[in-house]
Amino acid sequence: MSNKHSLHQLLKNPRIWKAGSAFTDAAAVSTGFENLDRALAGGWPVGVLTELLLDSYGIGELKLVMPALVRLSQQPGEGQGSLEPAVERWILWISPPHIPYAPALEQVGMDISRVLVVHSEHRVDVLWAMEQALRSATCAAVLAWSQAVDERSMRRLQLAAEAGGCWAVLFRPARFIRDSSPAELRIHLRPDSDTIRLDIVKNRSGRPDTVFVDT
Amino acid sequence: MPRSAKSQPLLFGQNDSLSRQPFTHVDETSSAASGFRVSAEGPGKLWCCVYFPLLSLEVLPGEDHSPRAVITESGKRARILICNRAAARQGIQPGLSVNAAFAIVPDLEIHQQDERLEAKALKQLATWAVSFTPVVSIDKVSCALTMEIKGSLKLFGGLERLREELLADLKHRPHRAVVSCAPTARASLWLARAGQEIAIAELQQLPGRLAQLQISCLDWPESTERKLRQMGIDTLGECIRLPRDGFARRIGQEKLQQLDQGFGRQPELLQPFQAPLRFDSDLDLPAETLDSSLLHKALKHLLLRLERFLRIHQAGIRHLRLDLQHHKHPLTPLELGLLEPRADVDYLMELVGLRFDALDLPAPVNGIRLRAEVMARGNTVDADLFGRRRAGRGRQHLHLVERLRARLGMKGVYGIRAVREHRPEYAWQAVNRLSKTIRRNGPAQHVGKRPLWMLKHPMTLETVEGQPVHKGKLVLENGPERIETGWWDGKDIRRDYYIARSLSGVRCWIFQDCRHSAWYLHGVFG
Repeated sequence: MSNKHSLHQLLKNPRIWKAGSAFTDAAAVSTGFENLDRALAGGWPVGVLTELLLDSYGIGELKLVMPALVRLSQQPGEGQGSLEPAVERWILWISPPHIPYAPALEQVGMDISRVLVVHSEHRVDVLWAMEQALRSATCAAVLAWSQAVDERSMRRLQLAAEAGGCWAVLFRPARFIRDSSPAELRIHLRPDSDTIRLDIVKNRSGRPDTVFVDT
Repeated sequence: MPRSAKSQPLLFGQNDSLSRQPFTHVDETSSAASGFRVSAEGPGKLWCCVYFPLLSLEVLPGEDHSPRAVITESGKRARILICNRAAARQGIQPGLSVNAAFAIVPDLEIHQQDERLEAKALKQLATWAVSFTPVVSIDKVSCALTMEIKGSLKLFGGLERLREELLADLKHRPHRAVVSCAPTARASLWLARAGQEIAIAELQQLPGRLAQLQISCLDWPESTERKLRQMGIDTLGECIRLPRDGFARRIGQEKLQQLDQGFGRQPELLQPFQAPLRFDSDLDLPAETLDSSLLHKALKHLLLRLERFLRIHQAGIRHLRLDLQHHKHPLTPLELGLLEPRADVDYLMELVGLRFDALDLPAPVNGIRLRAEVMARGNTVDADLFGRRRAGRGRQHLHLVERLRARLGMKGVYGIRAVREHRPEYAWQAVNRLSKTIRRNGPAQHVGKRPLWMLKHPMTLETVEGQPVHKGKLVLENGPERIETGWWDGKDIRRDYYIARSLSGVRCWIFQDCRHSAWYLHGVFG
């Protein structure tokens, strides 16, 4: 009895990983697509850098992230104890290729008062802004669009994402797929008739996989 | 046995006269019957009124040689409010209708009264007046300042000296002013408006002097004044002898109260003017330098001074300006705006530092000047009882915005908002004022499907055999949705919108302009 009890206690230790289960303890926000949730072991990982690689913007990458964004935008602010006011968390769009269109975002149910758009001409500023946002821990999600990011900067972003604990997504052209990247989740997006084909290139909490998502 | 003045207060509605005492110097024996009420403004105060009779005219641009007048709309007819000396010499006087005035002086130049300019001028004058006393009140309606000067008499060496200094200062200003002093604020205003530049120091002397004033100095509505004149009342003395209840019924309780306030029987509440608090501090560097660590140290020093100042005044700033001075070079300005008042030097230093690093200095710096206008009084520094700073977590999400703006500029960081508008390019707006509270929008409009990406400007599409192409042939999937009109602001449109699918699988929002049948790409569904 006592042995069983102690074993039970031992298994509760978060440092022990049971081979049968995926990393369900890791913080994740549901993607809103059942098969993708399964492939990613729960949803988009939070507190790590996610890299979405695609050839041209507009193939459905926003629809892919939208269910999760909507859910995050509607989350009530977290209060720090009863005396502190609830904290609003931003949904940050850093140098998006086009204007995030407010009426459409409202149509899908997003609370756009949480949306913050950051524009900059300089690549360095984009990375700086993303790192600041990730470290500030005041964002629910940080989406950034960037061309070339060197590996050192990627590592900085990954560390910042770990520090801030928010959902960090970096959209990059698909030609960077061969480069090594410290991002913990890398997905190659391609349109496939009416669906999006997601090739999960790198995934810490699961195996490389291919998922078709019908948006 | 003379009774004390305080012992028999006069009550409203009593059926006796306003005051039975003779309007000369009051002696204790005769005041017994009058029941002279000592107000809270009482014996301890002395009010000085600076009245600007021509302010309405003086604030307006233009030369003063030709006949000019300011008019005001009262009721249906426009009347002359005030006129300059040239106009007065030709027979124009306040109260005259505009038509009559033009009949007398055809080339009269008339202006509408600009209350905004008047208020601005009065505010400037009030800021000057605080150098005489901390208690200054602006009377916008009468264009006058009332100041309590009893407390300043000792400093200036007596009433006469203070008045001299006041008048000497006024000489340098482009305004004509009348200065009168009395133990009550309202009485000083009446005296000034009557043009009597006198000082009455004692409350006992007040009724006697006021009694001789014409009722026109009260600045009551014309109808009220006419009514009184028809009763045979010309002076304040006659006015105050009327029975109280009858006066209240016919002329109004409010006017009775004004009389009581003027004669010191009732306290008058005045809105005090608060001069804006400014911080302005210089720091000369021992040597010219471009070394950023030295400059950072200097900045920190200035900001610490600012913090001390803010702590004393329990205030915060929302905007600060730094001027970096160079030898033989125009100075380099650096401005910083905040979303909410702050007084926390570490945080300000961080923001200034971000700005500072992006700055390209043209020459070595030899001095720094820091200026800040204090926006919010009573806003305390974020510190607990023992001086430790609280994290202030409820505001951290605003700090992110401020930090980003410090480096990327105001335009680089914005929120978005949906607008109820049918034309797609005007159906959203960038929001710069990001507040702590959540902005709630109305329910979404019932319109067709809209793309998540919107192009800044519609992009012209090429056509092949009349069909639009964009990276290959476009297949129209849905539409048309006709969106048109906008004639009211000159941005008229007439478009048929379609949802189209490109070869690469991108869903586009395209439209054909119905007026010249050209195709455009306007959005991407993403």
